[in-house]
Amino acid sequence: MSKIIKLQTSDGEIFDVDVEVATCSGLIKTMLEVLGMDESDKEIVSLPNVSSAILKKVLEWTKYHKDNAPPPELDEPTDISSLEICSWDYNFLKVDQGTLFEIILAANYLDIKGLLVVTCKTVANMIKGKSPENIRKTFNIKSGFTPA
Amino acid sequence: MDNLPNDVLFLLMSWLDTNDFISLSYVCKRFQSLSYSPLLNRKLDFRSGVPSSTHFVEKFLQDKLRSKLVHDLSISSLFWIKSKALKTLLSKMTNLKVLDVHGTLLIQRDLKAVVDACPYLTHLSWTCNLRKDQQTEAMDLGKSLSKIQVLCVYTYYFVEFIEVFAELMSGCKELRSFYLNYAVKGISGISLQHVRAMERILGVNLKLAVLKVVTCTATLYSGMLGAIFVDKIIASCLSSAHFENSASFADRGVFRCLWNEPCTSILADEQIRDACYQGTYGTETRAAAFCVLSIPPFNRHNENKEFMGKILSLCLHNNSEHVYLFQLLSHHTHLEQLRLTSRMQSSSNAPALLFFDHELLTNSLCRLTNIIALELTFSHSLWLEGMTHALKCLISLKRLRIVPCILVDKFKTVHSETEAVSFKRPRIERTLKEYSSLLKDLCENTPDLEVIEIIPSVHCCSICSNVELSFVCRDLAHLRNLRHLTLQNLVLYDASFFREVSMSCKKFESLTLKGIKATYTERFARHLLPVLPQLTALKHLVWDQGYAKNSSEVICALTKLSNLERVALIYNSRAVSSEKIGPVLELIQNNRKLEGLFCVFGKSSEKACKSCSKAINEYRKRSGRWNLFSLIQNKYLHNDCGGEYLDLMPFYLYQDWIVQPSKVVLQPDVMKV
Repeated sequence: MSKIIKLQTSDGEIFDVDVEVATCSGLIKTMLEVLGMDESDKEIVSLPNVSSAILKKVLEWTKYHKDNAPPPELDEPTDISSLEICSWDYNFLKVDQGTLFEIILAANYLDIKGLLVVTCKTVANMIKGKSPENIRKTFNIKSGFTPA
Repeated sequence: MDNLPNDVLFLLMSWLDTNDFISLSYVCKRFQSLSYSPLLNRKLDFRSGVPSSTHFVEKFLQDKLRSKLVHDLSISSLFWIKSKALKTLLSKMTNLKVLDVHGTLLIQRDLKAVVDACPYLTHLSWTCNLRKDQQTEAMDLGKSLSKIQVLCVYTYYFVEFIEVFAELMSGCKELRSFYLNYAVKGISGISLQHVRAMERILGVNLKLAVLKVVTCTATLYSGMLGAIFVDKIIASCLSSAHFENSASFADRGVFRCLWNEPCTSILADEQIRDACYQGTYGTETRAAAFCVLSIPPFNRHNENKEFMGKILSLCLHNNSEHVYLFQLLSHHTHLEQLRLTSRMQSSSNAPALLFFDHELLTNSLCRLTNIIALELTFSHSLWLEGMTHALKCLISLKRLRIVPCILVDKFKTVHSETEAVSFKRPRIERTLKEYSSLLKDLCENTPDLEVIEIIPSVHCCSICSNVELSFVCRDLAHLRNLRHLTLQNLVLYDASFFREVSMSCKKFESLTLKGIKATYTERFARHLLPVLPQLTALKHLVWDQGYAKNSSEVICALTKLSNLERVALIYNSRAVSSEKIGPVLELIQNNRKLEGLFCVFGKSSEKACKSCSKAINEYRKRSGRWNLFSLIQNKYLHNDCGGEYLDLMPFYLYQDWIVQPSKVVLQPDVMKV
C-alpha cells in the first residue's frame, strides 16, 4: 500500500493524499526529501496559499495525468507555442477566470510544471490576437496608463 | 490577472507570440515594466500572426529602452513601415545578431547603414534587388557583409545578374551557410546556367558548409515549379578544395533532390555518383526502397528508363501539375499501382492551368496498361476531361478511386450554402455530368473492375441537385466482378439499381454509402430496403446518414444476410426511439460471421444504447464469440472517446479498418493490391 500524506489547505480542510500523487508537486517533493518520508506520516503539511476548492482541482488534474496521459515534458519554455492542450485538460480548464488564475497560482506555488504550462497556455489563448484595450476588457484590468 | 505574481506573468509573457506580447505589455504599467526584461526582448519574431494594432508595434520597436536588448529580429510581416523609419529604428538595435528583413520596404542603401551599425550581426536575410539602378547599392551592401556567417537571400532573376551577385557575395568572407531563394522567368529559365552560377558563388566563398537553393517561377505563375535542393552539404566531408566545381561537391556530398526539371540537368552531370531521388516522388512501399538506393543519374540513358520500368507501385504528389511529371509517367511501363494527387494552391490561379496539359496526361496514362489500382485526387475539373479516354486504355484496371476536391479550398471558407451556390454552381454541375459519363464509360469498357470509389467533395451534393446519378448506376450491373462500391456525396434518389447489381455481380461484397443528399435520404432508404436482402454476398456495409425512421427495418433486413462481417450504420436524426435499437442483438445472434458492428442511433437514446451494449457483451461472453467487436452509441464519436474505441477494437480490426480520430470511418482498405 502506498503512503498517505496529509495536506491542510488555507481554509483548514485536511486532505489525505497518496504520496505518489502529492510528489507531482515540486514543493512537496523537495519537502519530503528534506524531512524524510517517515516524518511526514505524523505531520500535517500546511498549504496556506491554497484553498480547498483549488486543491481539489489540482489533485484531480495530477491524478488524471498520473493514471492516464502524462503531461508533456518541456525542456525549453519556448516549446509552448507548439503545445496542444489535450481535450481532457481543455474541459478541465473550462472554469471561470478567477478559478483559472487561482489554479495558476497554486500550480506555481506547489511547483507543478505541467499544470502551470497548460493553464498559462489557456491564458495565452485568451490573449491571442487581442489589442491591449481588449485584453483589459477580457480580464477586467484597470489601465495603469494616463494618455501621454 | 493582475493578481498574478511577477514570475508567473514573466513565464506567460515568454510563451506568447511577439504580437501578443506587445499587446500585453501595453495593458498596464506593471505589465509594461515587466516587459522590459532582457530575456523577453532577446528574440522578436514578426513572421507570423497579425498585429492587433500596427501603432503599438511601431511604438514598441521604437522604444529606446528596448532597442539594445534585441538580439534576434525577424520583421518580414511588417510591410507597412517605411524604409527610412526602419533604418532609424534598426540602427539603434546595435546588439543585433540575427536580422531578417525580407519582404519589408527596407531598401539596400538603408540596409547597409543598419548592417554597419550592428557590429555583432552574423545572420542576415533580405530581399536582394539586382535591377540595373540598384546594382551599385547591392554591391555596396556586399562590402559590409564581411562578418556575416549565415545569409539568406530572396531575389528575382538572379542568373541574369550573376556577375553582380557574385561580386556581392565575394564580400562574405566568413559565410558558412547560404540559403538562396530565387524566382525565374518561366519553366525554361532553369538550366545548367544555374549550376555554373552556383559554382561562381562557391568559388569565392570558401568556408561555405551549408547550401540550400530553392527556385520557383515568378509569383505570377504561382506554385513551385523548379527546385534545386542542395541540402546540407556537410563541411566535414568538404574541404575548400572540393568547391572548385559543382561536380566535385556533388561527388562527395549527399544530394537530395525534389523531383523537378532542374534536377535532371544537374543529375545529368556524369560525375555525380551518390544521388538520392526523394521527396515528392515515390513514397509507396516498393518505390520507397528505390528512394534509398544510390542510383545513377536519371533521364540520361536508357538504363534509367529501364529502372523506372521496374517500379510497380508509385505515389506522386504534385502541386503544380507539372508537365514533366506526366512525361515521366510514361516510362513506368510496369506500374501496377498508381496514386496521383494534385492539389493546387488556389482554384483561381488560372495561369497555373496554362502548364496543365491533359492530353499529355492522358497519353502518359494510356501507356500504363498494367495498372491494376489507380487512385486520383485532384482539385479541378480539367482533369476529368482527359480521364475518360485514358481509362478506356487501362484494360487491366481493377481498382479505381477518384477523389475530386471540386474547388474544395474555396468552399472550406464558404459556409452558407446560398453563397456557395452563387459561386460555382455551373462548374460543379458540369463536373458531375462528367462523372456520370465517366462512370458509364467505365462500366462499358472495363469489365474487370472490382472496386469503384467516387468521392467528390462534400459540397457537391448539397449544392447541386440537378445531376442525378442513379440512372448511370444501373450500368454498374455490367461489371460482373464488382466487389466494392463507394458512393459518397452524390445525388442519388433511387437505389433500385442495386437489384440489378445483386443479380449480375455475384461477388459484390462491400458497399459504402455516405453523404447522400439529405432531401433524398428517405426515398433512397425506402428504395434500398427491399433490395438489401438480395445482396447476398455482402460482407461489409457502411451506411452513413441513413434514414432513421426505418433503422429497425434495415437491421431486420441485414439479419438475413448471412455473410456480413462488418457493419456500420450511422443515423444522425433524433427520431430514433429506444425500441428501434431492439433488433441489433438479433442481428448479432443470427449473423455468425459478424466481426464488427458500429451503430450510431441519433442523439437521444443514450440509456437504450448502454443497455443494448450490455446485452451484446453478455451474449458475447455466453456464446464465446470473442472476436466480435461492437460499439453502439447515441452520438457520433468525437476525439475524446476515440481512444477508448481503439482500445476496444481487436488488433486485426484496427489494422484493416481506417479509423480516423475525429470521425470513424469503417471500411476495408480496398485499394490494397
